[in-house]
Amino acid sequence: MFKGNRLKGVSNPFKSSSSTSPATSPVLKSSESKLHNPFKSSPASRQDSTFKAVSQTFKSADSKLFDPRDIQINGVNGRIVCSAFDFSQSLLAVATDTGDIHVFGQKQTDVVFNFGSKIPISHLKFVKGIYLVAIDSKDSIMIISLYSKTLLTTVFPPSKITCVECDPSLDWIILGLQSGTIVIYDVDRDVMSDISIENLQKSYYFPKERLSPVISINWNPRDVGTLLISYGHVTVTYSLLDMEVVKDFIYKLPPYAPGGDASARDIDRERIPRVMQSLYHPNSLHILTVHEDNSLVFWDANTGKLIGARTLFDTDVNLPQNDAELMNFASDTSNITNVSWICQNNAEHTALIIATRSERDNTQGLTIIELGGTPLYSITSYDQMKKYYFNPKQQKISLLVDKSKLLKVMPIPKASPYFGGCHDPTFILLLFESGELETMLYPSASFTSKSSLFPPCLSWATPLVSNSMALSVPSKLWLGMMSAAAVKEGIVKGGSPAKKPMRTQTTRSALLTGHSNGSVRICDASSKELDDNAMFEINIGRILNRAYNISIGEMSLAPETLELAVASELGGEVVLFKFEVNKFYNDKNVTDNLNLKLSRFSINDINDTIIDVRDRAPHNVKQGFMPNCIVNAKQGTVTALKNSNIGFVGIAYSTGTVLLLDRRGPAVIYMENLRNISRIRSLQVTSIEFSIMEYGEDGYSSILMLCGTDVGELLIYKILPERNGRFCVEFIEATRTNNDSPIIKIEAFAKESGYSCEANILKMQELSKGIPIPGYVITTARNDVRLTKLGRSKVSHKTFKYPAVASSLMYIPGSSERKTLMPYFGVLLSNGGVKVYSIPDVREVKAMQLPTQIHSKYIRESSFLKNGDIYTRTNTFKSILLSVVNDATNVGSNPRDQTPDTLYNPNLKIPYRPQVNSLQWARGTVYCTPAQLDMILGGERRAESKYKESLIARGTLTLKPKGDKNGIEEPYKKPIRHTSPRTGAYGVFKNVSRTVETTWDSLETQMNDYATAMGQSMNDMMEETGKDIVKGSLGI
Amino acid sequence: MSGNGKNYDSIMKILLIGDSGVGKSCLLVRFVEDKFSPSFITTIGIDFKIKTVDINGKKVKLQLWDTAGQERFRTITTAYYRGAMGIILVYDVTDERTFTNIKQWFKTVNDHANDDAQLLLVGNKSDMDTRLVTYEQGEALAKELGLPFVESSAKDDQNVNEIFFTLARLIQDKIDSNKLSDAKNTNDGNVNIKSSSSSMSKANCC
Ligand SMILES: Nc1nc2c(ncn2[C@@H]2O[C@H](COP(=O)(O)OP(=O)(O)O)[C@@H](O)[C@H]2O)c(=O)[nH]1
Ligand SMILES: [Mg+2]
Repeated sequence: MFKGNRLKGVSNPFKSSSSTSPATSPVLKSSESKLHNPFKSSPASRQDSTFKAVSQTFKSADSKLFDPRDIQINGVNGRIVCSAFDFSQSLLAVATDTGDIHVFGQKQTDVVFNFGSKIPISHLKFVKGIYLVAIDSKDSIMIISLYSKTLLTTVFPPSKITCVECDPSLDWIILGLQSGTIVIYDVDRDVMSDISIENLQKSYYFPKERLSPVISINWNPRDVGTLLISYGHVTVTYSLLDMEVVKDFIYKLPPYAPGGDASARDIDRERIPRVMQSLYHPNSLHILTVHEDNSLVFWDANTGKLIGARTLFDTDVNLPQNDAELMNFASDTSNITNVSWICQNNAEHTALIIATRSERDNTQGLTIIELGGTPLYSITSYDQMKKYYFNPKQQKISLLVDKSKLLKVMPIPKASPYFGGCHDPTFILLLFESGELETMLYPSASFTSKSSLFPPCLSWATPLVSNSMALSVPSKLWLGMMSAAAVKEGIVKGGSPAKKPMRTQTTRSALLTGHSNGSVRICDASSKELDDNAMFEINIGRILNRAYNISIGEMSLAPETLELAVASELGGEVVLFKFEVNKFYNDKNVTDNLNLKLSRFSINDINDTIIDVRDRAPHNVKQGFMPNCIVNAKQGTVTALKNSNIGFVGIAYSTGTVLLLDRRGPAVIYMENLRNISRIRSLQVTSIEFSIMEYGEDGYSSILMLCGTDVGELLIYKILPERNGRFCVEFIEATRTNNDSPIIKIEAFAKESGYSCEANILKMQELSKGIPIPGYVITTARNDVRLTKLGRSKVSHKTFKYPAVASSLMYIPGSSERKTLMPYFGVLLSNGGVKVYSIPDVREVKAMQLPTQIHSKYIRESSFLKNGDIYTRTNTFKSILLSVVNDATNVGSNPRDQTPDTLYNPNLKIPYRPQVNSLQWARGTVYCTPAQLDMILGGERRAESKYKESLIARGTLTLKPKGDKNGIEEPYKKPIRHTSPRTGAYGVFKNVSRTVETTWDSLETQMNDYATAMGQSMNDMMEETGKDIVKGSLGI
Repeated sequence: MSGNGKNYDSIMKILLIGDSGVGKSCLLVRFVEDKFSPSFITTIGIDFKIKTVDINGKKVKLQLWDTAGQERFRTITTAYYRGAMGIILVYDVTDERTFTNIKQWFKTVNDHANDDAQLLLVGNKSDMDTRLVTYEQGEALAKELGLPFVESSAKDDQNVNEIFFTLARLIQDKIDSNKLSDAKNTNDGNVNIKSSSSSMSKANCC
């Protein structure tokens, strides 16, 4: 044995010369001061005689203290398959593969709908802020009321649905079917419209082609009377007023025109590449059709003229080429999968966000084509328009590395619910097949790992959790931290959560999740008891300056000193953080040089074990967990990690190496391979704990580092002060404590009081007084629990039918009159069973079964906590917090008897829908009001709604545009006025503008200007307008 | 509307690579927009710019791809190199590490890019008097790797156009000589589309 020579001369290494105080009872932390002491010595003989009876009554009383129940569920039940955002109510809906539909609002607001079906939802749409439409892949259309939080009805369309369009301000859902027919459903009245649209491609364009389904439907962003409809070969604009096609758009490639695919086999013939999507420019004057050959084709919506065709990288692809040019096309194999046409607050400033996926290697990316301000339609030639689409302001590609298939690109609009949800987004939410969400920032195209932007439950999907745990934190300190960190920038602001009563506890349970993108998030595990949503986030990606191998493995938080240690799961680096004020916050001195240095940093270039990374603190965080250093021992992955409350960090590696770091420095003060020490061939350390107590019969207490191994061995080290103020480590002994299985938890408690011997600053300061604190160590291994007196013998031993998953000393308020804390020891077993033992005699007080199963895959992600909470991860996206304490004050806090959160707010208005601009109106589009649309689609005698939701929602519609046109700027900018040769014509316009409900005061003047700018085409236009005046006078 | 075809004769995809901060983005902005900004803005994702130039009397549209030299931005993937006809390897003459890292970049290029891609070595920031890599060292490395070499300054607009024109000319020469050999291979010199595109794909994969 190594029993240190150095030790021999020193009886108490911590004894300070000044301290001569005799053995007084140890000072307890405030939270422990009420601790009841069941062990306080009474004369031994008397105890002996009464012990049995007392313990008997004690036992039954004790057992009543425990009763398991749910506290809070965190996360969602399954993989997210579909999502939708409602601007007006600011709610986010997601559907999971388990058939749950969550609607999230601000803070903890989360209402879950499950209609007993496991058929995945394929479309989610909000209608008028009060209805949520969910369509599953078997084509059932479910109409949910966000007001009453009930399913209003389920509807079944006549054939398979291929596309869906609705508008946040209208009652109607337009359903494109497999047959090519379009049917229209009245959400508000629960009836199908008599109006349907036949397969126009079949009827009017390609009668001999195979029947095409409806590929894409879009409402004209400025006119509810017009739809943009695509079939396989043809796209049309369709007037609901006239019930006829207005213009058609057919992308025909002449021979030797490459289109989007220069290697097409039939390039020597005329081709019509299939349409996969069509979109309106937000000003409704241009149309984009996206084709399966990757062509992006821009059209004039009014004339039907092709403005230009391009691919991601090439232009004029609809023109015949000679062979030399074709050769240059060959290389790009990325296919366009989806296009979003987004705009800024001024909807004339637009950009395309194009999702691509390579057939060859599944590389996915998003290309952002920043088109900039749209040239004025009225005064711009086709060639100039083409330049707008061919020479964008900027083009950027963001690759989606290591991601599963991208399912959905969902911009989160800031300005209005219109323009297909693309009005001025800063965040673009990406949903992947794995159920994960990523957030891209627009326009920078960077990704943010920040999850506090979203409802906390979604943290489990942004991105996947690689490790999770819960731990006990002192309530006061913690609640202070939480209120300081209240999330204010969340993007979902609607609804309001039903508050749960706060449990009175001396420790609360903190939840730590480590994610595959290098993020660690710390929040309250029963956060519904708090007023605000609070979350601390750190990310090791920036600190390690890499994108790979950053998923999080072991984590350890020292709750009293607020230090955090985090290990990269695969890389084995450990990054140390400390909660403090950011010295680099908004630091103007952060020079380009520093940024450069950080950007060139690669951990592989550095041989030091400790790398200072303090300057890598995020510059925009005032206070939080700031990076301190990286420990890069290059000893494999981390198997156990403990950041103690006294500045020591123990790290164990897969190679068997045990490292002890002193954060004062920081310096490595010990590094040795366990395999040189173990007496029973332990290979790895699986748990580490620091305690302050007496070893053997030392007669004084020491700081002990206790390490449990994979085969049930306990290693004991002493951490001793040296003269120079540093510490050194002394290996004391290795003893077999448990049966042959990994030790998962080590705890120690004082023999006298039962209070925890876990090392903290207070206890460390007490060391100088030289008071010996004799105690016991409890080691929990998978197969058994042992109580040991260090340096002496095993005292007690418990084995179980099922493997132990987690364990903890608990401090539970005792029977009603005395609210003192009583120590117990609890063990959670893999079958969901919980055993509670008395301390120190380890007698079973209670055996119970949790109302939750322990998932075999996440056994390691279970925690037992000091307040009797149990945390366990139940699936990929979800965890649960339970309590085994039967506390009267907690009645009603069970999620099952909660009043649900509120989602709908009738005081929020749906903004005014932007309207057709005057030019188009002049050209023959008769402006159609929502009321007229209702009349066309619903008929003269449209029934009254059965739903009270109908009336409520009607009250939220904005029927007149605001003075500032609701932030949606007019496309039209006043050109210099020319004298018009046809002033007489304006009288006609005037009439029309009186018949039709006008919305702009300046309409007339604008009309004049447009007309002037139109120059000679005035004549033709006037003829067309003439036709519409008839309509106008009919009132439609 | 003009319906008579494109306003250029060919397209070339050109990449800029090298350590972060060597001046790739500055070179590109200087070349395309004739601007220079002294501050360091990390490139996020891949920036794509276009400039049409005259090479040997032909209008050549240059597709210029610029990326962050750091892994954290997830851009260095094989997809980036795919189809590149020219690759500019840039180092900073005031920073030796960026110079020694050129060998690593060269290896990456060899692993991922087409074999027939034309490379060019650039030592940037030649305006700085804190130079640590001499012109001769740069030249020697270029010789060792078999690359043409230019020293440039994006700040003072020294040799910036030369970088892109030299590279485009070298690529154009390659294309022309390929075409010649292709033409020789076919009987009548009237190149058939299919055979030429398949010969191209062959060139891509070997
Ligand atoms: N003196 C000088 N500075 C330059 C030159 N080119 C770039 N820089 C500076 O070097 C830094 C990094 O340039 P940047 O183009 O962003 O590098 P990149 O990471 O390779 O794209 C910036 O601060 C530039 O201003 C140059 O030719 N001379
Ligand atoms: Mg750059």
